[in-house]
Amino acid sequence: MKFGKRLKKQIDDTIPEWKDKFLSYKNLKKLVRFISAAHPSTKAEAQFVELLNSEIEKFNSFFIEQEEEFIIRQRELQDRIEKLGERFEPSDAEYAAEMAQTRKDIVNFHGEMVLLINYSNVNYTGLAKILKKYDKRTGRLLRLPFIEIVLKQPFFTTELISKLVKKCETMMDPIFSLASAVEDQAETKEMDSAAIAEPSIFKNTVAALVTMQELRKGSSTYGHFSLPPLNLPEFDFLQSPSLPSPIPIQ
Amino acid sequence: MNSSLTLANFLPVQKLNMNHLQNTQISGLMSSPLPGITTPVIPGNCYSNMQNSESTFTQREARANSTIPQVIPMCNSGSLAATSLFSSGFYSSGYSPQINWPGESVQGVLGYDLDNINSGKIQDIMKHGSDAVLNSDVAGLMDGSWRQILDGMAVTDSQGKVAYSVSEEATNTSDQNQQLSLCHVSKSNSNNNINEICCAASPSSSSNAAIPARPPRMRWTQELHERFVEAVNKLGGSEKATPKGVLKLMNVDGLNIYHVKSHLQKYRTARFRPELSPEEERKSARLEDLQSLDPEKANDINEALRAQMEVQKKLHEQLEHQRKLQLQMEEQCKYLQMIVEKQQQSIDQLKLNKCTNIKLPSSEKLLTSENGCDEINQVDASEEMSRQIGQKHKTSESDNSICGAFSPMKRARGD
Repeated sequence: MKFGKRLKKQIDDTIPEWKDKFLSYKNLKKLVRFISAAHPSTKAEAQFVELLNSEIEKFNSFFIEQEEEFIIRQRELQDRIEKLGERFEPSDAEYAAEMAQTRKDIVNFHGEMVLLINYSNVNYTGLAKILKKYDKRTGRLLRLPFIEIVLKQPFFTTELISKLVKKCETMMDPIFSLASAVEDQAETKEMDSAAIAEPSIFKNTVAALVTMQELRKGSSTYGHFSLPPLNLPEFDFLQSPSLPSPIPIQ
Repeated sequence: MNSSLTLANFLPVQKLNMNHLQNTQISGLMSSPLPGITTPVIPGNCYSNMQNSESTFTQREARANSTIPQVIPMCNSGSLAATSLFSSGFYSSGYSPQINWPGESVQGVLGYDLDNINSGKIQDIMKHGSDAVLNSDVAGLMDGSWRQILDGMAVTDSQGKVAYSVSEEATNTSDQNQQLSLCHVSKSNSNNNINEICCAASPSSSSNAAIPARPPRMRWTQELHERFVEAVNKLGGSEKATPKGVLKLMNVDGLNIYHVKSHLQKYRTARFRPELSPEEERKSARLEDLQSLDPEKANDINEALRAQMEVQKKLHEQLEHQRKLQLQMEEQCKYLQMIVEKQQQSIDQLKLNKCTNIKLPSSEKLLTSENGCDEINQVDASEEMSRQIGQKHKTSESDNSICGAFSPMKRARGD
């Protein structure tokens, strides 16, 4: 239930449009429980698989859609940044404002992309857990082959997004270094902190990190094949105890 | 409770297609679990939802004959049965002639006389909510609790994205599109050459022309988008450019006008309202209010942004790491499973050889690769397994000795 709770928290904190795109973990869990342990019928299994497949379809659709948008937005941002220098004089008031806005946009854009990767990961984890429960319940061997397929699904192949994220980071350097140069003349109105760090993005990011930390803390089923605990000592503000990790994270 | 159903009951109920199905591979499937059913080549797309070498006797192929998902009978042959259950998870590009998941056909499905639950309906439920389930016998057959659970499940996003459509282009281009890569890099290709294959579609069984493959969803890449932008610019900008023109100019096989159309739409939106998602609208509004000079505040803001970046970067890093670990884990599980299967084969072989002194381990130590991967007794299991494997090697040399064997039986651990 730990995962379930964490998942719920993440969904609560997530970007509103994303809320219904996550795995229906709780419901799937219930479903597994209903499947008879003694006589797992093939029909039941088929239905179960059908459900899983439709969940996967959901993920894939959403993911690919978002990916496409990110590709477009990234390029637009890039153009915008390049043109920023052309449009205004650095001393221009508007320039600073534009700059501030752009900075914010980039950071949030970066955040959204990372959250998409997180989305992928969270759903994968949930699926793996559900499958494990199913196997445990019915004594069948559904998990392994099914997971193999999941691994190849679009929503799990996040290489491109990762690439975009890295690209975004490089795009940011000039923007932020310029920032310090013109800080004196920065013309920015006071924005509440809520507006600065886009709330749902930031919140969701934090929730995601916390979740990862919790999940890898060492549960009752921790063993050789569990992911090693996650140490984030520099993020004390996340307020999660960091535990000594037997397997250091590289 | 569900009445017990036989395999026969599980046949697709679409009377329309019963005959056809029975004449096709489907019936063949009944007899042999994993026939060489290969997936239709995915035109212009870059991934196969299913590992092609595994069975994908796919609902897709059944669907090919109707736009209604059907149930595929399963073949039970131990663990292979699991593989055989997978539908392709195929979905169409949402950009095709917007044949939305047709309301009539859903009705049509429901109108059939059903003796049994068509699990295709479950998918309908997922898509349309419980309202789709009008047919009372379905409701009656379904375990009440299942119904509730399914009602609770999120309706699949059906903004026409899960449309089933027939695209002639798709069927015809099957083989030619081996040439194409419209997708971004899969592991096999390290270069992003647009015109090269990255299709994972392997045994390109030329989909038999009768099967209108639902065109798989198109996955854009940076390079492709670049080409798109060039084309648009040549045509005078996003407002002036038409999908048709862009498509032509781009000159990419496998790309169809619907892909371009929807992409163009997204592009226009992105340009005219840069970086605007609903919550960001209010942010951009504030830009207009900017007036005061406040270097301190500017600092604060930058600091906040930096902090946000740190957290985001960290999350990204950890996600990458986690992903690697997950992939590794699965590799290992696969490996263990393989070992288990080999063991089983050897055991079977030995049994055939009438090894007289076969002793099976006591029931407490039942092992499978799943157990092996099971976090609970992982360490023990792998030790046990290697011990037994070692033992096996020794004993196989002497015929009369105890054939150390471990039986990969899995005990169900239900409640």
